Amino acid sequence: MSEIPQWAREATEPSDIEVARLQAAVRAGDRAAPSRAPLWAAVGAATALLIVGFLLLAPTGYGPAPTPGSPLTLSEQPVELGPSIALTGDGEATALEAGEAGTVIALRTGTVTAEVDPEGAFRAFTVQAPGDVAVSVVGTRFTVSWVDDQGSVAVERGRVAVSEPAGSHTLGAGESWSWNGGVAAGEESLVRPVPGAADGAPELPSGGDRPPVSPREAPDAKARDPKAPELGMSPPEAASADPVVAPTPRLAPETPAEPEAVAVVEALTPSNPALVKKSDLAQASAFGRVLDAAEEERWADTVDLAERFLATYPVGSLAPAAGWHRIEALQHEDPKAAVAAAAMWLATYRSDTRRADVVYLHATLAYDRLEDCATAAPSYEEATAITSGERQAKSFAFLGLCAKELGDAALARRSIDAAIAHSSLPRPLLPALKRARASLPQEVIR
Amino acid sequence: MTDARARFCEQYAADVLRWVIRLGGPHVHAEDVAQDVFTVALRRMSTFRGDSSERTWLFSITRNVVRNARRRSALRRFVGFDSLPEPPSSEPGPSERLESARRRAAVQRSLGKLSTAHREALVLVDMEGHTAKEAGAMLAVPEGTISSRLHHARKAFAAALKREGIEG
Repeated sequence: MSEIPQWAREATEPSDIEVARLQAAVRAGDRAAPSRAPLWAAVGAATALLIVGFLLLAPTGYGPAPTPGSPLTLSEQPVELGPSIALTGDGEATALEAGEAGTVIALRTGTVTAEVDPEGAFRAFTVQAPGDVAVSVVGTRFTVSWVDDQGSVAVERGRVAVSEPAGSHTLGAGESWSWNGGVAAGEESLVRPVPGAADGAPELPSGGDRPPVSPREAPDAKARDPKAPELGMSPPEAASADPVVAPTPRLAPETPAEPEAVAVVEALTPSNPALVKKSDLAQASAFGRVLDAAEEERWADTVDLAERFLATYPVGSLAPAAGWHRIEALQHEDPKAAVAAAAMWLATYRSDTRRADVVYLHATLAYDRLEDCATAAPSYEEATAITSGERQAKSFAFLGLCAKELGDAALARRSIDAAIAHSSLPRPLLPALKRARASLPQEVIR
Repeated sequence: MTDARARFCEQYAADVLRWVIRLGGPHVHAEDVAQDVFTVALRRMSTFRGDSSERTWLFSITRNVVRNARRRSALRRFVGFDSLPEPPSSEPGPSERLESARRRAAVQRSLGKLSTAHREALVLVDMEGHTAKEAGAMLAVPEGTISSRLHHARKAFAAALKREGIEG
């Protein structure tokens, strides 16, 4: 095995301008350095005081709580559930659970606006709503409404990852999502600004509607390269079965501030309602361990932790993400198992927004690591329909090369032609594609 | 800044920046992270005991700072604060610069596909020109371990470059 190519070394050499900029920045940074220690000392002291103050003032209990099953009438007068949750609105709800283990209410009709202190005690809070939708909150301000068989979630502060039967989306401050007919899947989504949400509320950065793990290209047919030729192949099932349009967040012009908290809208499985009562924090903590292992590239641990997570939380917004990490880790440990895991993921989460990532990974693992064109080709074919940009161009290219290897000259011709015509095709691929195209038998014109 | 410290920065700026570009991947801002490296190094300068060369000592600081930066970046991308960097093709400028940026990003993405251990071995030996023995000393692992990591790293890197559409 030879060393890596010279051009790769040269490509990662910093330019003189970059070096000069760094030298200037270091010189400038060093002048400011002496003030850092006292600043951090002050911040540390202030933090310590805050912690002491918090411990002294923190509530020691949940306080008065409604009896499970008792009705809650929502109005402009806040209903306080525990020390951290205040509800206002115009509607009727039932308290299902209220105590230190968490607060769960079921919204029967109308609107509830929840103000949850992101730092407060006993802040785990869930609103169940018709349509197998639940809104679980760690801390933010948001509104859930169910009026005339039309449901909506609107976020005023913080961020919301929405996972419902049709997939998952991310909502930021000022955005909303709706469902109707008692089923969240397959309905048109609605994005509208929330009045009053701009008062210092953090916003999503560009691309914030991406899934929480490895956000790449959205599986949105509209994102396809308009210049890419149509192959005339049948659209894959997942692409056509996903009519829910992921909300398009407003673009923040600058790097956004940290959100105050994160809210999770989570779809429930009616047959397993107990899941919603599990602590969100425990789930987040378990997922955090998966994430930590993945970040530290402890691949065997990642696989193990992700599998344990999926066994404990088989449904919910984080399950597809955990599944993604499992595949990602397996590709380092056992590519064959990774291909199988990706296939299972694709069969399980047919409309998840990470589908484009997984379908492409499935194809490239099969093609590059296993040299298995028969497995890779269908995924590359799906990827041509649900990815965009360079990934779409490469999907056409590798589909063409696979089709050639599999003896499907017609598909190979169409795919390679599509790749060559694609505006995002990496130039280094061109010669190989042209050679492959030239070696294909000429199309018989009748 | 004292003359000695200024000279230290002048002397190693290119090295640190190059290490960060190669180890950090496309998601970390190389100049910012390199600046952090110097901030840490200058703060710890008095603790440098000369057990290793200055360059080795600085590399170990770079490794730690880069690792933290990668973790932060991954977390920010996970929660959606950071999106993927824009592809170089959207930037204006001469074609050479575009091609250069594209190539750097492709190499960074390919290096980013490797595990940290493999990436460090590949960068130190194949890109920085150290021997396996020197790399082993810098990473505090036996020379044989470096050779083994290199074998896997080269294979994975070549495959990753191929996936990028670039023949190694």
